[in-house]
Order: sequence, then structure tokens, then C-alpha cells
Amino acid sequence: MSWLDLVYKALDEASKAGAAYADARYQEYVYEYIVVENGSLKEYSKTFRRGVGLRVLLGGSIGFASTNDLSPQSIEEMVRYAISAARSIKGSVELSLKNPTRVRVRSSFYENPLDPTPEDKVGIVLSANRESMMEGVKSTSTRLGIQYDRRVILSTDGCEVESECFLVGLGHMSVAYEAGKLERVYDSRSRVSGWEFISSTDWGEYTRGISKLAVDAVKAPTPKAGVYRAVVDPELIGLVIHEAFGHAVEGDLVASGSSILADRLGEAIASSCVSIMDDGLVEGGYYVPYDDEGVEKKPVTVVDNGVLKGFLTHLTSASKLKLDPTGNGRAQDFHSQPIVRQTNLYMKPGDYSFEELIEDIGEGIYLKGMGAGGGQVDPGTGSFTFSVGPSYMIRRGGLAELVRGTVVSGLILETLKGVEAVGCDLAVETSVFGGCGKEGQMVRVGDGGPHVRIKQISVGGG
Amino acid sequence: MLDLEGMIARAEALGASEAEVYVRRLKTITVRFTDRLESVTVNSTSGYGIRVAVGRRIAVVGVEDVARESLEDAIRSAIAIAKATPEDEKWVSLPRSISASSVEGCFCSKTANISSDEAAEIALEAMHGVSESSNISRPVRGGFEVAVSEAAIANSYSQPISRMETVTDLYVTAKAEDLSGSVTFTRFKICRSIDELNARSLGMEAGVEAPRFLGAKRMEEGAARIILHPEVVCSMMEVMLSQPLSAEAVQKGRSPLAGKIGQVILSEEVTIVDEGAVGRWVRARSFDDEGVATRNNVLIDRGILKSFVYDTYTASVEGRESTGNAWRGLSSIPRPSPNMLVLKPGGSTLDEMICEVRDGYYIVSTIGEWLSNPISGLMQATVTHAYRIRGGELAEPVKGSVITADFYEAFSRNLLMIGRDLTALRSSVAPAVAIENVKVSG
Repeated sequence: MSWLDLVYKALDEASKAGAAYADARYQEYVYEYIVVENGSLKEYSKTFRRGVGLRVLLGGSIGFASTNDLSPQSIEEMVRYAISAARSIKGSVELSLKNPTRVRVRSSFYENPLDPTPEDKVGIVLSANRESMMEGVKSTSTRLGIQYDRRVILSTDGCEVESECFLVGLGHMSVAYEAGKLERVYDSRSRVSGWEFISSTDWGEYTRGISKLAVDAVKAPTPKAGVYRAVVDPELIGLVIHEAFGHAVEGDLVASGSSILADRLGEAIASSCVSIMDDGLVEGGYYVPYDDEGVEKKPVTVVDNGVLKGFLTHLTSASKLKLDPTGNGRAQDFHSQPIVRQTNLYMKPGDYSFEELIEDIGEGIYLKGMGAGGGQVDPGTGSFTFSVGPSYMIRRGGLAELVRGTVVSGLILETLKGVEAVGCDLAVETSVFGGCGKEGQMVRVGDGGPHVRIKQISVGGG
Repeated sequence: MLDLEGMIARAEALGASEAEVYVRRLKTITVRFTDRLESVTVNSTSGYGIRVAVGRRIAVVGVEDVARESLEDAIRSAIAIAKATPEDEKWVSLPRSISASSVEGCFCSKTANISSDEAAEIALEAMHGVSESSNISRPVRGGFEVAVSEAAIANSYSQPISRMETVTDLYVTAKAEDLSGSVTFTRFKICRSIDELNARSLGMEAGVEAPRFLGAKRMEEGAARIILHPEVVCSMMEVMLSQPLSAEAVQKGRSPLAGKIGQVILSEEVTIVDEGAVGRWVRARSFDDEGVATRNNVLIDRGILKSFVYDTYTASVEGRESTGNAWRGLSSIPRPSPNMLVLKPGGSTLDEMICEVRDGYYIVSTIGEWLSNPISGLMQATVTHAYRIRGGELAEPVKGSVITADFYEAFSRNLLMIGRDLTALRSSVAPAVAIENVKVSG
């Protein structure tokens, strides 16, 4: 019996056991990972993963079980576990069920990135790593990641959605040393693409740029701690709105009351020049044409000219909030239940040039994302914090000296209300090496925006 | 589980000079809740990590697909990759013998055999705890999980050995609301057995604490004396020391502790032991992820750096023995990392510490401490929940500022007191710590 027959049989058995609704997610996943450190190959590893997860709605409760053993016995056991899990709680869960979709989609590529020989792949990483060595650089690490993800979502109401996606990228870290101080700069570039993104990029130029930044930054001063007027680059504004704002519009957090934005639809919650979108197919972002509940991911306007317009939802939270599902029910893998996740959240561009953004600033800071290490938010209190890479001071309307990477922080709504002007550029990025974590699940996301000027932001200093 | 020795023989027949198979079977039951039970999940998974050497050419393949043909493909793929990679001149061999130490308390059969119904009941207890604690607190988010794992390993030189473990964790977030606004507060516990959890009392703690932070104001900027809650100390210690104490970071020039063995690096009040063989800690185990018996290693003894942590590879580079600290994912090479960092307690109660600090802050929880820089030693975190300390007593709640300090100064000349009551997180154990000259900004 094929896996497809087994999964359909599992859905049938779930229905016979009393489930009002059931869906199953089958997944095949391959991840290839190469690391070169200081000129030597450190790791070449490959992951193969295959399995299925089953979600049932029974008596108002959700039960979920999964297995990576696709034998008939194991699939039967999975059905029993899911049914008994649902029966163990007395719930009143409703799913905002949609019209079932039958579709097959695949991200575009020219050359399958799993096809080139191991020698070719190692050669590219070795070469990129060697190019990064220069005076003042103490240690370097370069990595290549290739991901293939195939998901098939089937449900008792007739949904059959199959999606395939390739994601490739290269990341590099240089550690510079100067007079007892070390500075680490890491960056990566990824694309939903075939091997052509890797083979057509000048990675030597890229890694040399990172080394040069590390060498310059280690000699630079740390910015004086304090509150600054700031211009934030697209990479960093993406991180800010993802962490500081995006999580607060996730419908499950809104429905449970643990977001500071609950009950605020229609309110002005940001400066009028701020508009924010969540889009599963934006250029540069991750590929999410359908979510893991088989719902088409349509672009969602979350903030329009400062006014909160929408939340991101999956079937359960849409029902609770009495909103439409937005296609944001995403799961890390077949072992995980879909929860509300962002896809590619970005700020829409305005009409300021970079020069116009900085020309009115007497003393401020130009905060850069390259070398930043991520961020975190507490959606209940509105506090956020994130790291920034080596950045520049702004003095008398122009860029001044380089300063070392640090941490900035603030309160979500104060920061969004403090956006003074929005640039006319736009860049959205994703990563094959990381993603967003929530409830123990990591999913690929994208984020970005234009350059943005913010009235005040706290810089941690050192 | 398939025959490990058979898989090793197959790899050798296909051209491996050495082969190792690490297998992990995991079953988890997870309950998610908000103000009601949301879902129960039962996951079962088995996976294989296959490491092969063809001479000094190494490759690792992980496979979470138990079909026999998939394992055959994985072995073939590992050999093909190894043959295509450059030689690693530092490679010596896989562990020449594998063995387990005697570690008690890693497995609780009652916890391993919990049903979905019992798991849901524990989550309900936590929710009831919040509701009973205060008339303005309610549960808004939480999760309870039981994980039962079995790991086995064998290589070209040794017969298979195996171990079984249970880990259970619970977190509960309470929200308190009044006319001044709202605030959430989370409590977390991780341990080996459901009998140690006490879900109701954890829920009550979250529910009692949350209202205390209503109306929190910004902290005052400047240098301050602070007390860090044990959970904040644990997080800081993991971020600031886990990587620098790893022999891998030392050998690659990425540790500020390189070359400092035998030197005083922290206050003589500070002793840190890697307790990999104390079964009640959830990262303790009888053997590490390449089959080396674990033990308890004193890493910092009364302020003096005594040792780093090693796996077989990094130990070979220095011509010494592994310390039993190899950690791996199924498809990644093992790397050395502390098993369970334990900051040994001092003698002070929290009340004594608050009294001694007199004027400052008690930092209860933070976010973003992982953004600190373990290479430069710059420790920083954003405060989400804290109290002002005035006249030796807890006063009003505060939040929202960034605290910054040099870790090595904070735990040497700026160290005031170390508390006596330990709290365990996933990979570290610590008491509260009082330090001075911490920069508060923002």
C-alpha cells in the first residue's frame, strides 16, 4: 500500500471513530549542510526525513499524533493516539473551515540544487572561505545550506494541496582581533531558488566584505548608551517589525489575550506613514503559497497608514476571532500542529530617499542589520530587544564614524508611533539557516522593508 | 530498531574504514492550553545518525525515515560524501571503546507511561492554580510535555550500549488585568518526573506574581546594584560560558578563556561544575552522544579556570581523553558542549540579599540575554519584570530597560552575594546572584 493510500485510510478510520473533521500532512524533507572553518572542511552532513501527522477534531477537541514509520501498523497506532488525545480533553474548539482546495504548486528553479556533485558544493564553500582571510581576521566560518521540502495536506472535507520548495543559501562569519578585543560579524544570503543562485553569485566578494567589516568594527568604539534618533536599514526594520510587531498580530496570541493588540482593530497604533503586509509570495521572501492547513496564503494588510487592519489567523483562531482564515497556519514539520505564524512580514515603502532621511538629524545613529544576531519580544508587556550589527553615527545630517554592534530595545507601540519617515526602497530576505521560533517550532520566514527614520530608540551601549 | 552492528558492517563493506551509528527513539505527549485545554499531541519518531570515515575523510548523514531502503540509501550517501571531501588532518579515530557511567534518576517509569488523559489533567491543575491564586489573574497560555527517549550507539570498535530517559516540563503564563492595564507573567519548570512538577503550585506562583507587575514603570538610568533571579543567572551563564568553555571554541580562537587554565578568572566565591552524571538534571546522561561515559567535571574552582569540555575529536587534537561532553543532532557531527553547568550556591537567602543591596533592583525576568556577546564578555538583557529595591525592601515594579555589564567583572570584583537556593533550567542550575555597577539604560 502506498503512503497516499495509507493516509487516506487513516482519514477514513478517524471519521469512523467519530471525528467531525481530520487532516493529515505528509512530508518529505532533505537538508544538505556544508561547513568550512579556517580553510578546512569541518562538516558535510545530510538529513532525510519523511513522515505523517494526523489532526482530528472530535467532540470539540483537537487530538494530534505523528509518526515517521509509514508501516500500516504504525499508521493505525497514530490514528488511535490522535483519537484518544482528542477524547482526553473536553473542548469547544471550532475550525473555520474553508472551501477545500485541490492544487499542486512548486517554487521555480532551473537547476535542482541537490544534483551538483559533493565535490562542486565543497569547492564553492572552500573558495568563499579562503577569500575571506585577510590581516586582522582571526577565524572564519562559511556554510552552505540546501533545503528541499515537499508537503501534501489531505483532509476529510476534500482538501488536497501539494507544495514543493527549494531554498538555498550561503552564510559566513569572520572574527577579527585587535588589541585584546574580538569582533564577530555574521551574515547570510538565501533565496527560494535552484542551484543557479549559488553558482551565479560572487561569494568571494561577499565574504571579503564581511571580513572587512569585522576588521573595521573591532577598531571602532561602542556607541554611548542612550536614546537616539535613528535611521534603520531594511534588514533591521524587517527584524524589528517581525519581532516587535508581527508576533503581536498572530491570531492565537490575540485570541488568548496575550497580545497587547487584542481588541484594537481599527485603532491608530502606529505613525500614519507605517503600512505593514504579510505576503507568502513576495520577492526575496520564503515560499508559502498555501499554509499547512491547505488554505491559500493571500497578502494580508496588517497595518494601513498607521491603522491596525488585520490579524494573521489559522482555522482555530479565525473561528475564535470571527475572522477569515488568512493562510497563516504553519507547522515546523509533520510532527507539529499548525499554529499561527508570519510568512513574510514587511513594511511597505514610502517616498523618502536615504539622504532625505538623514539630512535633518543633528546627532543620531544609522542602525544596520548585517551582523545582527536576532531579537526577542515579550508580547504581553510590549518590550522588545534585538541586536544590531556594526553601525554608523549620524552627525549634522551626514554619516559619521563606524560603531560596534550592540543591542537596541524599546516598547512596541512607542517605537511604531515614533516612525517619522519611510524610505522609497524595499528589500525582503529569508534564510536557509534559521527562522522564527515559537512554542518549540521553527519555521522559515522572511522579513524586510525600506529604510525608516525613528524618533527615538534605546541603544544599549557597552 | 534495526540492528546497529549490521548497519556498521554494511558501511564497512561499502568502503568505510570506521563507522558509527547513533539511534534515537522519542515519544512525546504535549498538551497546549490557553484559558482552556486546546490540544493534545502524541509524537513518535525514530532517527539514525550515521558517521563514517573513509581514511581521514568524514561525513555524517541523518535519517528520520525508518524504511530499510532509506537506511541503505543513507549509508551509501554518507560513503559517497566522505569520498568526495578533503582529508581532515586532525582526525584520529572514533572512540576506541564506548561505555556508560552509573547515573541514577534519569528515568521515571510512571512518567514514561503517562496517558493522554493524565497529561491533560496535569495541564488543568496548572490552569486551576492560576485561577485560584488571585481574582484578577487568569491563565492565557501554557504547555505541558512529557518526553521519553531511548538512545543507543555502536561503532566499529564497540558493541552497542543504550540508555533511557524521561524529561517533563511545564510552563504557564498568567495574565493580570485591572483598570491600570494588563501584564503577563510566566513560570516554568523542567524535571525528570511528573511527581516533582507540582503543576497547581506552579500555576499559583504565576497567578500571584502577575498582578504585582501591573503599572510597572521604566527603570532609572545609571549604574545600579541588582539581584538576578536564579533563572536569569542560568540564562546568562549558558550564554556567557557554554561556548567559551567548549574546547572547540578554544581551539578555533573564539574563546576569551583560551590560554587561561590555572588563572583566576572569577571571584573565589564562584565554583562551576559540569554535572553530566547527576541524574536529576535533565541533560545528565550515562554516556554522551558518541558513547563516552559522562562524569562531573569541575570547570571553575573558587574562581580558577580548571578545565574545558571535550569530545573525542577536540580531545585528540590535544592528546587527551574526552570529558564525555559530545552533543549531536542526528545529521550533525558531535561537538563538545557543557552537559549541565551548575553554579554552586552561597549562603544567602533572597531576603538577606535584598536587605544587603538596600537600593537597587531585583530582576525577575528578562528577554534577549542570548544576544549577549560571549566572545567580548559583554552581558546584556532587556528587563521585562523587575522590582525596585528601596531601603532594603522590595518596592514598586519596573520594566523595559536594558541592563549591561562585563560578565567577568560582574562575577569577580562587582559580585556582592550568591544565594543559597538553586533553580534548574534545561542546561544549567544556579542560585540568585547580587552584583553592583550594572549599567541600566533606555
